Amino acid sequence: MNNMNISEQECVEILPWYLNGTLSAEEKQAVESQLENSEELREQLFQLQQLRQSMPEQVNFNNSELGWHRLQKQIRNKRQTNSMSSTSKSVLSQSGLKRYVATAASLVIAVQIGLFTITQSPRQDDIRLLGDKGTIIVGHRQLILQLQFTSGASWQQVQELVRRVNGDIVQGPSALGIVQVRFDMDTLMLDQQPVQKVEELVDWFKQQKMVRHVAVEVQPE
Amino acid sequence: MELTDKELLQRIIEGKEKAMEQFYHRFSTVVYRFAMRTLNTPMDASEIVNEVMLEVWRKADSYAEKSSVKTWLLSITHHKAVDLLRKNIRHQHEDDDQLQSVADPNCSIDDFHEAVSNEKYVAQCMGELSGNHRQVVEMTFYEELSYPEISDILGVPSGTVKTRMMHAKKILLSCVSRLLNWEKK
Repeated sequence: MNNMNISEQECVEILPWYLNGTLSAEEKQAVESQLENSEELREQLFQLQQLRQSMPEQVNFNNSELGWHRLQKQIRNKRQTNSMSSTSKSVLSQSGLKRYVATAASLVIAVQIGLFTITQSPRQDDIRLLGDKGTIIVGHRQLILQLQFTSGASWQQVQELVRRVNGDIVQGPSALGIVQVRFDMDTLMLDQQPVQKVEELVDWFKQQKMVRHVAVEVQPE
Repeated sequence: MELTDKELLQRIIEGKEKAMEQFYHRFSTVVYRFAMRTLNTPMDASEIVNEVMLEVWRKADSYAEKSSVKTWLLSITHHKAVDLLRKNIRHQHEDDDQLQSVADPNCSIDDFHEAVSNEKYVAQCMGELSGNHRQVVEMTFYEELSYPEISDILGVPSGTVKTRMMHAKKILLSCVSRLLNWEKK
């Protein structure tokens, strides 16, 4: 191994990385040789050691479970889009089908226009909070709640909780563990009893340990 | 047997979702903490985790094996976090601005030792560092990265990394001794 000559000043500069053990073997040897001869350098190292030990604890990422679920949805959506686009290309290449596809597309547009009147788009803020863009279709007797779950909640627990009250997750989870859940007021049951008021359901969610926040997004008419 | 980071990336390139899940759980906290240091907002940091991981899924084959997987990942995180920060605040503190306010430490060696061992002081003084300074200190002592790795991630010369660390150390020592003196009065 070659001996490396570095000045005391250069040693001071790389001391933090001597301390974290990431210097090259040559640099490490050079620092150790300087440390033997310099009281000041030893003092600097001591100060750094104390600083390092007193540094505050790091924050934890507690949203790992819901965060993974969100990413998984995006990955699968992307795959689905890719596969649909390659299928449609192959279908369209068969010229005899083109006319039928054009007719079907017109029908889809017509249906979408028809649905527009009972469709409500999430506010701009919600799109950002939820991370997913899109439109939620809401019927006259339907309710949309926005629920924020605690960081420890798993996706399975979220699904189970929503299933208990016949809810349907329509968006989320977001980066903050927020999901939007749609309920049909006609089939809404709580502990096998029909629910008459939205407030009953909101209170029930508020009592659940894994729910941090509940907000009514869309009221039934 | 647990797969190495590179083996996981190879499987992600092959489109294996299970490998992506393992990768996500292995690195999401590292990415989150790194983003938090730049952005300081849990929601923005969580968004960055999602964006970075999505990019890994889409572009895992862009990993050139010149550096470790963690260095590559933090480099993506750094760029995305800085982009978001620029969008959010449109300006950053310059190193020099903060240096002007730094006075040389003016207390005894014993006082120094007392001050730098005080977690409360150190935590407060870390908060006084500019983003650039704090980032280098945290990458060194939390992530245990080498200075060439930090240089790669931040896209700045090694000399700049060392200079930022020297300045950060000076500011921290000055700050903790100031707090100690202030408390003694």
